[in-house]
Amino acid sequence: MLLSLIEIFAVILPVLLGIAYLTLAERKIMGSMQRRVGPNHIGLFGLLQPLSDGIKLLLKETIFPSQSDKIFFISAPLIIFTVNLLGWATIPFGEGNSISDMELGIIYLLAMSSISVVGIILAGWSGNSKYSLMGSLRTTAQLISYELVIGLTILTIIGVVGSYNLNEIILFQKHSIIFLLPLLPLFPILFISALAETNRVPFDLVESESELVSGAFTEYSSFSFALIFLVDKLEYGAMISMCTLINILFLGGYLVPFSYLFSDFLLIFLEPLFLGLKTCLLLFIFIWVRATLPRVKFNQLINLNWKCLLPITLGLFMLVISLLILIFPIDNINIQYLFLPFIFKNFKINKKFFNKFLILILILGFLSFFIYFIYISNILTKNII
Amino acid sequence: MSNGTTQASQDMPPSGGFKPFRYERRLPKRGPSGVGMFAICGSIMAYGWYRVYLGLDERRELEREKIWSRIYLTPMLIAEADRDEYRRRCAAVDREREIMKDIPGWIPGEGVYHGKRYAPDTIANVPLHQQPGFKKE
Repeated sequence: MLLSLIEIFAVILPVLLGIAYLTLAERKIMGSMQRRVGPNHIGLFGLLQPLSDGIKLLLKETIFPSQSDKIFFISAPLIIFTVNLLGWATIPFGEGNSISDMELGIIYLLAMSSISVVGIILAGWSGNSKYSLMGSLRTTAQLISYELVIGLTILTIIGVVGSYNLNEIILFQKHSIIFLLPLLPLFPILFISALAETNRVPFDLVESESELVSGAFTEYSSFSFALIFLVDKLEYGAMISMCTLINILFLGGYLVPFSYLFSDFLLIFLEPLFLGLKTCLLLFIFIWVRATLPRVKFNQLINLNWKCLLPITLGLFMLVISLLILIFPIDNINIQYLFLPFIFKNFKINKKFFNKFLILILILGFLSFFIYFIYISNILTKNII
Repeated sequence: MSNGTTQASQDMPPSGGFKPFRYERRLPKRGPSGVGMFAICGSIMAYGWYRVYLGLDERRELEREKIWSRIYLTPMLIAEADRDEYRRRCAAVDREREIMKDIPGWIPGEGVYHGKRYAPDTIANVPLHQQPGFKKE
């Protein structure tokens, strides 16, 4: 009991510290990219800036709008905060080094990131302000549409690995190669979706700093604002967990390059370090994008998802499954798991939109069935075991 | 219009219209061409898929090895279990003989069934003091 509590604190405290110092890192990096100094007054090189920001927010008065639903108003930031931290339970920091090595770890992660949408809706609705309500609806539309692409990307990787376990995914990359190489086009797609999922520039329409005054969270102040600020407003917490997920899926997570050079004892310390280093690289690219790109329009945001990323991801998904059937027998591809959700679903698709990528899917589907028949004829002549 | 007899009171386009002019911006072509990028991306993916193929092959080979090692180990494990069961049964019969020595006509180790066929014990013959949860009084 006590040990597991210590375990949980050993994960959560560094994450919280990382979130706090990510704000400072972002301000420093953006400052240097824009030829400014950035925060440098409080502490050495401005290192105490996050602490002073936090203390400032904690000392302010919490204001409740008079007509607001107090219970939901208070619980919404707590839900967002808790759910974002719960996702860290399955992240492996080394081989067999995670709080919970779940078999359905990746589904758990997706579920947790979806529940935080509920918190955003509650936060926008309970303040009894029509502007924050509209902000929350826009956030929800964006998050839900981009979650689709993320889900499909992850499904493709699950198709290759044949397991929902995060540790298994990393170990598969150890035995073959990091998925950045075989699934090269999926990496930028997932990265763009992650930018949109975390409401970062250039997809930060739901917040738009100066114009909308942070969208769904206009009514928040003081400590509840601090909670949202840490995890959701500029999505620092979601940013770190999303970068870790991309890292695990495409860059091999905790895998150390040239690991045969190091002893096993040394690797225990190197593995979490490399997980952090790779995540930091991705986080730097997040900040770099923020310092570089202007904001897109809302129709561009939705069009990019539904007319560009989703068809490409669907096509790549079919291609990957076809390739897997081509190169390898079916016992390593859990196709029955992949297609189960699609069979029981009622499709209601706009006809115009559907026609555009129907041909692509049909061609790839035909290809996969053709290859499947080759495989069947192959398996009849081949003894598997 | 321009070659009319009356003098034009309005600025008109030259005969034959204006020359076509460039309205789209011209950006310099930089980086590899589309085909080049497709080829680079394709070759990287091909190498990656080759490694994935090797990885899947390795994993299937390990799985096959595990299955066959279990198939070969099974008779040995069964024999080991049988030997252990026989030893425990003999010890249990000895204990029974020791306990029931005063009762005339008692046959130690006699089966509960009417017949001579050997029936293995459904519960392992573990003496009481070796059972989990046993407490000394």
